[in-house]
Amino acid sequence: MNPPSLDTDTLLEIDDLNLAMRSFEGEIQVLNGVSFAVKRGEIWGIVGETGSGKSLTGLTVSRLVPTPPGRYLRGSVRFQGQDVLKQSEETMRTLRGRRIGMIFQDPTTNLNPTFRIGTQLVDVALHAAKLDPTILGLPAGASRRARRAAAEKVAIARLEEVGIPNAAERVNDYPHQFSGGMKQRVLIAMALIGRPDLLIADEPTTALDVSVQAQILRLIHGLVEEHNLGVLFITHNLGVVAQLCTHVAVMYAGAIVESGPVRDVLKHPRHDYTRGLLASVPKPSMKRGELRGLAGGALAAEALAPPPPRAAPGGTIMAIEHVVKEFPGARRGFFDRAPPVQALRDVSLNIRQGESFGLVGESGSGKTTLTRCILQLEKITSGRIVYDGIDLAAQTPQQMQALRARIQIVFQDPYASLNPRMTIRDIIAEPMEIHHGKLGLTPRQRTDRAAELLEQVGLTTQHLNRFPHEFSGGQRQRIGIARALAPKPDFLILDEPTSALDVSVQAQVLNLLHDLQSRLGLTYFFISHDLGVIRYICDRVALIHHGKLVEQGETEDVFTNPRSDYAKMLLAAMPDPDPDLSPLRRREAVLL
Amino acid sequence: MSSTTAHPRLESWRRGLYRFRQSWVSVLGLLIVSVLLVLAIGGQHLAPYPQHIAGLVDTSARLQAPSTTYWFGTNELGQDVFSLVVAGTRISLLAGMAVVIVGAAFGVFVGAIAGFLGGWVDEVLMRLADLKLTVPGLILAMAVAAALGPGIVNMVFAIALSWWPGYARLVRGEVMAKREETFVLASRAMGAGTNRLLWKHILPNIMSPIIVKMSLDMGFAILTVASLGFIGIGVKPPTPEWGSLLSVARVNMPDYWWTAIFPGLAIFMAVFGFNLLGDGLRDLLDPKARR
Repeated sequence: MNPPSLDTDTLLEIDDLNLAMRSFEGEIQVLNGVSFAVKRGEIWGIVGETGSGKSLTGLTVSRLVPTPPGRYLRGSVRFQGQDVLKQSEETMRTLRGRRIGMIFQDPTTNLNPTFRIGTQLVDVALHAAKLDPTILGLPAGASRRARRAAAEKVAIARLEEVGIPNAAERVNDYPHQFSGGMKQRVLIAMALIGRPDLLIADEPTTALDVSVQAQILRLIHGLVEEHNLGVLFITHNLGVVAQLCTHVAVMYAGAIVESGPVRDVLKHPRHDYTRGLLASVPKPSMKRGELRGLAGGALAAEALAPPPPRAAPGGTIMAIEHVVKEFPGARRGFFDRAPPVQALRDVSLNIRQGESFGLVGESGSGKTTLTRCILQLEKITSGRIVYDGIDLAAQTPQQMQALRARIQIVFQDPYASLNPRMTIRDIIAEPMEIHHGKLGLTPRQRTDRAAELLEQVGLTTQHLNRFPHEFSGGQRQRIGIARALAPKPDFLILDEPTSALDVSVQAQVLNLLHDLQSRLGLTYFFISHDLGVIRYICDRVALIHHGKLVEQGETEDVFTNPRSDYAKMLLAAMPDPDPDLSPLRRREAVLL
Repeated sequence: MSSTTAHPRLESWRRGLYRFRQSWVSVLGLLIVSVLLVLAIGGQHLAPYPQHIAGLVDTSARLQAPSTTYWFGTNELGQDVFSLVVAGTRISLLAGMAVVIVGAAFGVFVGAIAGFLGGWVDEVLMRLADLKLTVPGLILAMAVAAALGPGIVNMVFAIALSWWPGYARLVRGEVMAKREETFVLASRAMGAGTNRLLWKHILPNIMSPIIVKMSLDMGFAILTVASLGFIGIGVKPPTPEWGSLLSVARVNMPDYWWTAIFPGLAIFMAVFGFNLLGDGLRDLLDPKARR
């Protein structure tokens, strides 16, 4: 097909790409001279934080950026020698899904829930076969029925290839019958049907649990070896890049600040931003308060000034004793119900005054249910939750109301947890209004206290009259923390407080939490699926799996010497930001 | 995030205006509605023959075709149709607004309670709404108006009675969705009670669809008011109202078409204008509902 040349291996060559977007504020340049080239067999990781332009770069390759509002100012995107930006829409359609496969972040929204997955795969196969009949392996002019049967065979073969057990039967299932990781596999199978040369994966594992993520990474790695694909892997997770990618391009503010082979960039970063990004990821060797983070696109000058030392943990403040929580089963007919679902099975833990207690679990493990039970937003089925000697479940609503001031929560999603119609002042003052009886503040004093809290979390009093949408994710999370601190609590539940944030912002929020704990003597119940974060901030840790505690103990003990299989598996699946520690690479080394 | 130093409210209004102006039909709707509002407020003073509105009869100028003196012609009593149509704007708009506001207020109240409390309260209130929906609105309005006697207040009450279930259903659904939002959960965890959750957290966040529905409903409310006027329940002549003007004029058709066409056109323009405005507002306030 292509004339043989020296560069026949180069699949994609992006040269000085400049893209602008029109909006209310006028035209903003979002891509600023992006250049790199992907060869067959290479996995290019594009890393960057929110708004750095990494997803737009991926979309540009298959020209999916809508124009307008987008406008290409300069540059070229050559895919196998052809400039994608100059092709007709017709030609692009033959490239997309055929020569260029795409996988996106959220596997649930990318499959049509009303069709069987077999139907969806067959559709793709039949469409791809219109352009390249060899996909089905049939002579031209084969009957409709024969083509359909062949397409089904192709679908099953692809599903088997991506590791779906019983593929021949599962083609008859609907998307909701698959787990998140399985759906992502189905989507990868779909992308492979057209036998692409280039695979663009936009955060394909971000919505998945770490153990599933590890499987998907292994799958992509295997596919590259087998089919000699080129991959553009867009992610914000440096650990994933270190594990999987052969090359990496670090993006900041629409430009690539550094690119090259993954070992060179991650081990010997030359650019300040890359160094800052790497310093933002908590590492096992770090002590609390040592995370440095970024300031204005460069490594922060130095670590946070060390806060006053924490008092040693006191006695038990929160005792969770044999807690069981059942949800009624789904209705089956008029009177019948499925057996109840056990979300928490005999969970017991003791949290000491002034410590950080970590709870680690994957989605559906019951960690959020436990926080709701502690807050008495859900009634527990049996067991006791004792806070400071008081059995919470036995309290009247009035007594519980008073206790709520002492137990506060910070939520995962800073975008959803603040009322968009309230000003920051009103948001932070709300708990003070509710607990007027305890605090007894006048509206004027509440405003003063809100201002004081804002300064405590690193914002300024100018922000008081603004609305949540004017703040970035990290700033909103600070506001959420200020609100939780308003009624002067002593127990703070932190429900994945940094999972929705970029790593540099995560570093800032973690340092803030560390600082606040030292100053205010708070007790933290820190819930996360990120083992690195837990190891950085927690004194003790418990692992929860399918509603059962599988392991608990001192953080260092659990991490260095895990006893349960589940803990061992989780620790092994955790992507380490050191490229030399990648299990995929170790296999490579063995093969060589 | 925002780069300007303007006050945040002002800033968001400017953003809104920018988005609104992207669609010329919405601007057209706003224009029509603005003209109607001006006529409704200052109609008496803007009409060329205010004495005709008050009921003056001029038999020397009966049924004259549209001309430069009488833009829309005159009716069988020699009154200027343009003046009557202009004067009718006030009644139609006022009645339409009253219907929508009364219906929406009651519907929002019922829907909010049903959606928030759920359980049997929800069942009872929603079955009541269903019951109401089984009776055709216009028939119910006629029955109520007939029972209470004609008059603008009774008419508004009668129409509003058939109007609230739409709002109750809309609000119930929105409340049920918002009830599960994290910021509501956050407030519950702080210890907030039902009143605070409902009126401070949930309702302010569902105002957009309510306002959009009110604007879209305005057109239909005006049409319903005119229909009741047409069949003689509601506003009685000589008070000018589009429906009753149309009703009186139907004997003049087709020879003296202008006596019927212009009130009809006024109704059409009002419904059209409010619908366009409602669509524009939906794009503005509720961008997710846009196709």
